[in-house]
Amino acid sequence: MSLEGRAYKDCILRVDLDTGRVERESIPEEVARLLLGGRGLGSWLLYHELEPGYDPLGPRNLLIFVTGPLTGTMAPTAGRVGLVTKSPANGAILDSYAGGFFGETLKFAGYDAVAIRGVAPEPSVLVIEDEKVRLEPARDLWGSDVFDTRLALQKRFGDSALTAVIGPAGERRSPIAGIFCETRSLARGGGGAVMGSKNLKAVVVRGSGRVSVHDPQEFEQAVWIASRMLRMSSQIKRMQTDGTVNILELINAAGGLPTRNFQSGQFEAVEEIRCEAWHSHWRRTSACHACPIGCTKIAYSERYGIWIDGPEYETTFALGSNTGVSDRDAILYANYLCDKYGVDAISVGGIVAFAMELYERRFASKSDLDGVEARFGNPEALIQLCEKIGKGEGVGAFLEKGVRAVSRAFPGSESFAMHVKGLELPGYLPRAAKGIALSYAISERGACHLHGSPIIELLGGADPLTTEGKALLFRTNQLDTAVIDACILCYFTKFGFTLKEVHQMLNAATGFGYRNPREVERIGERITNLARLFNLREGFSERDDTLPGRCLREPLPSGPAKGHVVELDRMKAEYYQAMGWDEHGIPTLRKLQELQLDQLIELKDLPH
Amino acid sequence: MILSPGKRQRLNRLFDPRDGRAVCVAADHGWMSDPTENVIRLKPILEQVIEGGADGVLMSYGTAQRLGHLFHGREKPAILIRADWMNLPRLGASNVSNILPVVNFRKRATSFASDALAMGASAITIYYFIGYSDEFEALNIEQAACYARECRRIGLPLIIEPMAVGGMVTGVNIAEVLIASARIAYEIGADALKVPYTGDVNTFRELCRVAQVPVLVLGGAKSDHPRDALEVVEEALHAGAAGTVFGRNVTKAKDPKKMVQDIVALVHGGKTVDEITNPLHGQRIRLGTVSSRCTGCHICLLACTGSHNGGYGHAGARLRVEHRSFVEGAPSFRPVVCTLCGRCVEACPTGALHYDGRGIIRLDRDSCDRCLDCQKACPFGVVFQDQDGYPVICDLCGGDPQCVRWCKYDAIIALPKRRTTKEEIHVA
Repeated sequence: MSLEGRAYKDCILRVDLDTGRVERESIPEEVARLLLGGRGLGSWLLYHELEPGYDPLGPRNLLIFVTGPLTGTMAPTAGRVGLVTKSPANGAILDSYAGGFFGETLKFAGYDAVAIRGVAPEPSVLVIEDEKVRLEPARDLWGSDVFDTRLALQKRFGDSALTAVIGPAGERRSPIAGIFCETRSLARGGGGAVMGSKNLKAVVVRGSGRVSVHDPQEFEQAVWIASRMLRMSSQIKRMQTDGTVNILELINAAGGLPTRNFQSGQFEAVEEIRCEAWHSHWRRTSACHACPIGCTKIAYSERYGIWIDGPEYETTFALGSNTGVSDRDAILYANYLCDKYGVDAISVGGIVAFAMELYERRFASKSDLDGVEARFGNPEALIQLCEKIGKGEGVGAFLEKGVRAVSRAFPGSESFAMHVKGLELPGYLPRAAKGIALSYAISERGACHLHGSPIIELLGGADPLTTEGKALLFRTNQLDTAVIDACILCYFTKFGFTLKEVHQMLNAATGFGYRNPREVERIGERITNLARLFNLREGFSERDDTLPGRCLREPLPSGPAKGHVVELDRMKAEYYQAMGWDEHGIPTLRKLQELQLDQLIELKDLPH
Repeated sequence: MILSPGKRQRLNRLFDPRDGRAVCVAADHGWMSDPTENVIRLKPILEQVIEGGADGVLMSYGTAQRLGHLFHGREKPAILIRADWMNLPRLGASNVSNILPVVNFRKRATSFASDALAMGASAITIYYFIGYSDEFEALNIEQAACYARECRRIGLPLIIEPMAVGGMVTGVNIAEVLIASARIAYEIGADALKVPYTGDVNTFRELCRVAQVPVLVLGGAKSDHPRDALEVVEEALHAGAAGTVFGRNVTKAKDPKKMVQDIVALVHGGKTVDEITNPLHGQRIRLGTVSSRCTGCHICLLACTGSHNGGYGHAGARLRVEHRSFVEGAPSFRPVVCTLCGRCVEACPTGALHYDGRGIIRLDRDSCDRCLDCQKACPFGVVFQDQDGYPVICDLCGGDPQCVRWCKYDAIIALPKRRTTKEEIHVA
């Protein structure tokens, strides 16, 4: 029985840019049942088809846009798109997600995934209009920023066409370049560079089809219940009134708001950047596809005359407290520059903060930084550095390589080079939240707050300063999140409903008949193991599951977590054990068989 | 079940002997929850709750002391006393997954059962936390058992409120944990339970089955849409619940009296949520829009296609959303719906389009020649074409428009329609 009509389109579109050839194939039922879609399907494709050790910017790396079984349905938040590829930032498996409308349009066009390989002979746009797929030359767009590109594409293809574009950063294969889907972004890990390496400026999609589910009546009932739980959640209400930045003050109070390159966890000017302060900039609330949360804030800066989608909690931390800048307009403008040139704001903020500390501690001189007065808290320096990094000009061409690469040029700076596996840290101070610290160390794509970081630690859900029980807490969140990413839903649904509701929606949508939520959680475990196997095959080991020296050895000077460092080794050992891995963090054969991964991949390739 | 005469008497005061059900209102929220006006100025709200016809009101001991006089009289609600308390404010996440600060978190007894009895209470309510470490849970069991003993001795009913909020509670086990806690509470000696809704009828039915004593469903955080809260009541009753203990959804309601009356109508009156919440039930309606509320989420299009043709999509929906992002200036989103203006009916040369008896536009496909004059005549651009070339026009889903039902933001609403005349043009 085909998967079409059971929430899938049962179609993986393969595009070979070398030859311009396009092929379609169906998804093996077993893969869908065991891995769903989204992150699961993307990881499976990449694991299978990419030869180990291959250059992420080489032609044979795959750039995979994925949707999930719930994408395009009425399930709350189910319009997201995922990206899976091998990251040019660190060579690890990269998965990244964006809201907006690109994902659901891709599904309406008839595809569960689009796997792109090869290099187009000239700068091009991949145009997908339902079953019609073609490459169009786009030499005129090469060099344009994200906003101009999007506008030009809208003029060319009409308003109903949805776009995923790269900016100049992606074109020059910067490891911090993202892919921008309308005003939402697949930002982390350098997906934009992979796209740039393929000479692909944009993917344009128009979809006029439908997504049908296995049992429409039961599905509608399950979706109604899940939506109602979101509507009835006070956390969700806060998201809607105050955006994701609503938590900033709570995080600061718990001493977990990274400040001045993660030197401390409380920002003295928090009043300036907490959610209440942003209200004067916010002009409109909007929502992604089918989303009853509506956390998107559209802000305007009068000083710069710019509109922006944001700022989010993460951008406020990255470009604000972490650089010591409390000037809201400057933060908005820096965020705008990141979006314009097409770079990841979390990484850019991390790089700027690192440059500031290098400067203040005299590792780098003013002339090393093109004359920028890179002191913490200087809004001008923030903007100048963002501009340089975005354009890749002057010192920007060096800085855009990321914190890890920059620190190599300044021996002695490694301990405060805030990255894990080459990816800059997101916005929670590891020393003030031990479970989150563990998640940063383990996460497959490098330091990541979206692969199961137990953020509730800092919101009163657990004692953030104890390591006890954190391995299990993280594991639970990690598996949950992997399922969310395979569906694909938004992480924020967790504030209103749980895997129990996901289980009900999935069964009605796919007819797979998962017996209980536990069986759905297994899917998350399977995906997590698959990602682990990918990285192990690439040469990653337990040594890479670590944190910057600052987190491990420098006692925090102030705040509720004063005196704390991250006691990582113990949590790591407990976590490996909880996952059923050996003491080196390698999944045991027994575990993999138990997870039925032997039905999906060749276990003889295993790193034993 | 053999109960002490005192317990039986007092339970009869709370549960209506005619149907064995009770509508209780929780007004025991202090600073621990959120010291908003509904907590601080409780008296006028309680007066409304009493007028609304509640069977019982849950209060803290101090509140009962000050406001107990409101409950004098045999037709007044029974008094329930919250006999224990938490030491820290809680951050309400949702009705089933409250987040409690477990750092130094404690729960303490604040009143003896005998204090409550002397206050004229018909029952006490205590928490029972589950999903924490073994030690904390053991302490909880001991406390609950202690209360059960005292209640038995003095003939006062004990209502136990299981809360599955520990870090070990996840979506994988939340229903199991709640069901287990309900059973444990029964075994400890509860005479009734106050329980969060498990989220679906099947698991809640199982909970009621194993609980063996009357189950009162609680409401959790205030919902923006009263309908959502009332649906939970309806579903819980369907699953076997004996009533409700709703707090913030009543005390924070715009009209607490009306909310209590609505719950009473569901619990005792056998009404349905539809009858209560849809003032236009069975009447002629039309669609209206409030553009400023629209977030551009497009769920209306999915609700439309999903309910009409099977399958979700944007193409083929009988309404549209104008969606302009902010790249070239201020963003704007605007739902555009059929207003029943009748231009299409007017323009139809063959008479294939007509109003039915309820004022809904219908197409007689046999007499339609697919000229699409109707599409050209539509001033709003909401007449579309199906794959066979026939026009597709909003049919108000036969009177229960799904776009209205699913729009969380109330950007599309149902309005009463006065006439079906063609000249009636409403520009939304």
